[in-house]
Amino acid sequence: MPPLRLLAPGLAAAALAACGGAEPQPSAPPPAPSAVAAASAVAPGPRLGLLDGALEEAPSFPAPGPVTAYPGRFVAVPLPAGMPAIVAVVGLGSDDVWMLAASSAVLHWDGARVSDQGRPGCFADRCCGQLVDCPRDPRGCSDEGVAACEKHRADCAMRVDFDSLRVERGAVVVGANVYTGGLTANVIESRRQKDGRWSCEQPARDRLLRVGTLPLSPSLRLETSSRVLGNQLGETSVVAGERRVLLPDGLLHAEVSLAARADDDLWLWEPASTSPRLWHGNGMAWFPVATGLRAQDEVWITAPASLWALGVRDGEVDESLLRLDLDQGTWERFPAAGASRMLRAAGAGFWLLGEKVYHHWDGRALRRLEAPLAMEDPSRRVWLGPAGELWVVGGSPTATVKGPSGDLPAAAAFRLPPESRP
Amino acid sequence: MRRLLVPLLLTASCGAPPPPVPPAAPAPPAAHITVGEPGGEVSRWVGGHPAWTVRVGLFPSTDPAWAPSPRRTAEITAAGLSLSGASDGSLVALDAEGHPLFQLGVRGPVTGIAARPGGDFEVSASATTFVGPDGQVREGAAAAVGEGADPPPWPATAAYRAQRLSRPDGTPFRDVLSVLALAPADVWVLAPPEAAPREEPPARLYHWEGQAWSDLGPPRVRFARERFAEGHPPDVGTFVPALLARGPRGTLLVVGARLARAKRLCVLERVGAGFRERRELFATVATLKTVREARGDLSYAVSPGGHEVLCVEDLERCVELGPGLAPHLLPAGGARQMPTGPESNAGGHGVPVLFAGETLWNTRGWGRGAADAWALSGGTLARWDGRAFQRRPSPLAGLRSAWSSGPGDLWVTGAQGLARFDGARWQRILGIEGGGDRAYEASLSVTGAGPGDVWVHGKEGLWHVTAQAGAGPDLTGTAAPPPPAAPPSAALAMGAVDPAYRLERVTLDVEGGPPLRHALGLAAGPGGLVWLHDGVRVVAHDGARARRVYQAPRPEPAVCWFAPLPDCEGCIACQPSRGAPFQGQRTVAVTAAGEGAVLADGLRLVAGGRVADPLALPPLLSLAASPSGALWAVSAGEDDDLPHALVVDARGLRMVKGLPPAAYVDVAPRADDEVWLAGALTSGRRNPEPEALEPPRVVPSGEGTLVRFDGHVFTRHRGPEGALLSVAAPAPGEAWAVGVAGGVVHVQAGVARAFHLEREGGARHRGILRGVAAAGPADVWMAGDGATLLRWDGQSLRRVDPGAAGKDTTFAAVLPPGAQPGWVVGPGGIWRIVRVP
Repeated sequence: MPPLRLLAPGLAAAALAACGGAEPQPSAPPPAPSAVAAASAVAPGPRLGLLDGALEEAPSFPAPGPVTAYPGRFVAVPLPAGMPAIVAVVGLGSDDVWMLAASSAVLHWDGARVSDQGRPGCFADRCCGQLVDCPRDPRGCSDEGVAACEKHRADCAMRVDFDSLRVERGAVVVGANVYTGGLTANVIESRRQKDGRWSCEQPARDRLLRVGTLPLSPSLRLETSSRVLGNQLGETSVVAGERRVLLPDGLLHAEVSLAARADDDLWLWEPASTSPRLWHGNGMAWFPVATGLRAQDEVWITAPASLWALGVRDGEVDESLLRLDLDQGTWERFPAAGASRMLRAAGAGFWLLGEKVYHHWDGRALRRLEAPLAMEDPSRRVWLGPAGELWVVGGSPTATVKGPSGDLPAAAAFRLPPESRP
Repeated sequence: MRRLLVPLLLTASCGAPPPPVPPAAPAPPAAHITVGEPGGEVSRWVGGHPAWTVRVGLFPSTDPAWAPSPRRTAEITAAGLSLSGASDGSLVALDAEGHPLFQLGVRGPVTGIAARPGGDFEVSASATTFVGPDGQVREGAAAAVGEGADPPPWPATAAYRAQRLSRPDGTPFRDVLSVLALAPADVWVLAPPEAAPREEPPARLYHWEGQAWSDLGPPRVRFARERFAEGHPPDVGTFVPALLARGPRGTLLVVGARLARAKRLCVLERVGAGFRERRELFATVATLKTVREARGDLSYAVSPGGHEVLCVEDLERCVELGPGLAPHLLPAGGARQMPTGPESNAGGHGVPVLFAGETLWNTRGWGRGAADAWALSGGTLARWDGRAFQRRPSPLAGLRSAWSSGPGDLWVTGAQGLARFDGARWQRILGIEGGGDRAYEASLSVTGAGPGDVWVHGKEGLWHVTAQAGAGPDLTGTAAPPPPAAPPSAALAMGAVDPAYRLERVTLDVEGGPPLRHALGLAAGPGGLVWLHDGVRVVAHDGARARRVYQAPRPEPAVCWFAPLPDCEGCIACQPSRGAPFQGQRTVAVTAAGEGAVLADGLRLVAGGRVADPLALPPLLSLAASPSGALWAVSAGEDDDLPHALVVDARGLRMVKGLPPAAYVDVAPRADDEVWLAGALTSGRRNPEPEALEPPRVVPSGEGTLVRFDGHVFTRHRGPEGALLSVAAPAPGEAWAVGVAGGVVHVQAGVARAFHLEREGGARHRGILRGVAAAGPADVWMAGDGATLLRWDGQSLRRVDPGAAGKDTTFAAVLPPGAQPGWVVGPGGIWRIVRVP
């Protein structure tokens, strides 16, 4: 039998509703109990486990970490005249960067200048988002034909406005989700041919919400329903080997994301929830981790053992960047006002992007610089090259160009060359 | 009154000395107890004013990420003693000043507490429990379910076994429309083939010939273009089968509809290897208007004398025919009504009709003769003896179908599954769940080929139920009275690192498969044999080589699709995820090389290296082999009508009866007359909603429980820290159990002591302990979260350095080192425990 060593009963001072000593007046409404105590702390008695639960406590931070000015500066990229705002950028290297303008015009940077690569001309029917077969219906594949049709009918075709850009097996592909009502969208893509012309394609639809797979380690992957469909149906699963790891209950599964240091060291957050929580998974169960953040944007891990969380702390209005040393279990906090999205850089580095300000962590220190362009959603409008070159594209806050239905912000693009970084 | 109250409060809260009590105090103020939101605070009010408030927690959860909203209730006795209970079955007693007195747990959510005149409390949970002011506990009756008379008991039986069946291509039958058993080796099944969720291929006819299935394809005949529906132009149409029936000549009938722009009832009769259309019905059914889109609206009955009735939707659209009787519409009143009321069209599944002799009844049920029929209506079961219907109590609600081979052999399906009535007692057939809360989805129907040869089908599949000649008798014990509230746990210090052991990470190269890099559970067999599982695969390691014993099917994630119309917000349908075969940790047991069992989607016995089909049993969480070779398995299920423990021994599969109901998660059979079972008192259920995309999962909750069975009596011990997840029995009469919040229970010579782990420096170690194993009373190993690996050497508890495993890894199970190195495993790896020379 192991030796018994009973805990001494807690004798901490109680904070009870009657602590004020004032005698209640008969006419006064009965006050609600204003303070709560664990009974084991109230007075003698057995120390019961049900009265002795550990409370979740947010980490305390003695002082915020330093943030210094970033030494480099953005350089404006000259663009063809008359181009409306850039909506997407992606690159293959410092001298091979592609941009998509709001007019669906595609631009290319060759390291010295930007050239216009043409504009895909794809049309879809308004009913269901189906791609118009241009050889069979040439009038439905021209702006003039559409305009003529619209004088008499409502079910005319419409020009597809592309808004996404990617490089797939060396080919530049622009894409658009055509919403015609309902839960799902039709995807239309245009691929740059070898002769410089643009195709019009519609990937086959299998009517299933597709499951995407994101490898997290050789034996761990995240399976999630396709985000293309713009909904939250479908299940997100963490799969270890062939075993599905049950996720915390009640999550909006299509919106969770996960960082993993090992198969039994998983970190999960769910920004879509009204009360987002950070969860730590050990491969068998998930445990809530108190961060003190009331709103949380991102969680990620950098080598060798740092967990980062970006969000807004209770009682504050500006964003904070929290760092948990996974080996030491210690927290650190950096002010990161305005930061909303993380962009992973090489090694342990990353950028924090915001509407008006960026932060950069180079593995040692956090630095801050002004954003060259104000933008609410930087996800498609920023590209970080493998050498560390940062591109930011969007619309000019001052210059405009003529659009089909009025003035539009003019295109603007900036690059932060790697050589200007410390 | 307040003068008396306030000083008491000051004493409790602020430490002020109590003033003298007035010599002539008036009658004490009315006191009551309240619980705050979200249910964790208990307050005492006296005379309308707060006296004190105490925050009361729940037992730690085995799944912290599953947090149903706690519910709490409380009551106070005239003497000022208060008792609060919560949804995890936890109870806390406080004295008049809010000081703690004792805590304990009961099974199931506490739904009510009543203070009794004698000073004790009546606690309503899954059963009624009486709790005295000193923590003494007395159990009352199980809580009644629903209103009215209690349904009769229907204990599970091992005398019949349900086997789920698959199509010839190996895929499980689903959405089975109809089954007709003409003879034991002549069974016909109408069901669609396996298809993508959005597809609806035509139903096919499958034939069971006693040894194998044959797929005969969709039943069909070649129709001519003709006017087959009155009021419609000539058309060809296709045959859509709906149900199977035995015709008056004993042949197979396929009752369905001829479908073109119109839909009309149509019957095919099996002739040789093909079908012929029952043309004699043609003219009459042509006049019967139908709803083209309606499904399941057809019904058929035939009398012993060959009198047939076919109906579409309701009694006004029935055709009757028979010997000397040309087909014609059934006249009004042609079917007699049950005394319980008409069953014109119950649930939109076609009007129920059956013959008792030559008398047609408008009811569900089964008829064998003019004086032997059973009628079903909702939860009402009634027997027709030729003169009147007599109601009989039924254990099932939502009765759907009945079949009987004769007196003393009635089978019925309902919302809770399949039951058999032998004329005196009801029996529950394991493995066929009727849907329970999802009863609206339940569609189980039963038919049979003879005594002990029963077929059950429905949306979820097809089962063949057969008598088990080798079923063993129940293993019955008696539950000892419940123990009183346990005293608080004592601290058990985790001492310094024991330098005598270290860990070495290993990867097992598995023959013919990927290497095994991590494991969630393991079991030791004779001769150094070890079986390990990683949640989907069981691997046997004989000390030199590793080979695969069992591989679970690949898990399928939940998937949703929009059907049948694109871009229809309301047309989303989802298929829940599948493939969570290993819900427990100790889910393998090995008795010899190639011999043992696996808990994977049921209990699968392994013999000669071959894994058998799963036995249809309640959901089992843990499995262990006794030295005699008997396999013990335990269940954490919430349904206390099902057994919580089973034994497979030389006498066959046996239900363990008398075991106090609880959520059992581990079992340690030291001998046939010394078996230890560990778990928690309450069975939480995650994902209980019918629309949940993930499968339901039992979460052991509430107070821990440790039970010793000596072959006759079940003796209970409490785990005051919460659920106990693992148990080991190192010596006769001795057991160690570990669980949540670093909780440990040690029982020796009938005396139980509860502990909680304490780190050097005095802080509590609240990590979950997941495994315990023992090589002897002075060699007990515990493993858990936070790289916790501990060894009890008979005197003290020492830590084992996790070394390269890292300080945050999770150890799920452990096997002590002996002559060979030990094992400790977890989701992050597999390590050998090596003795340092």
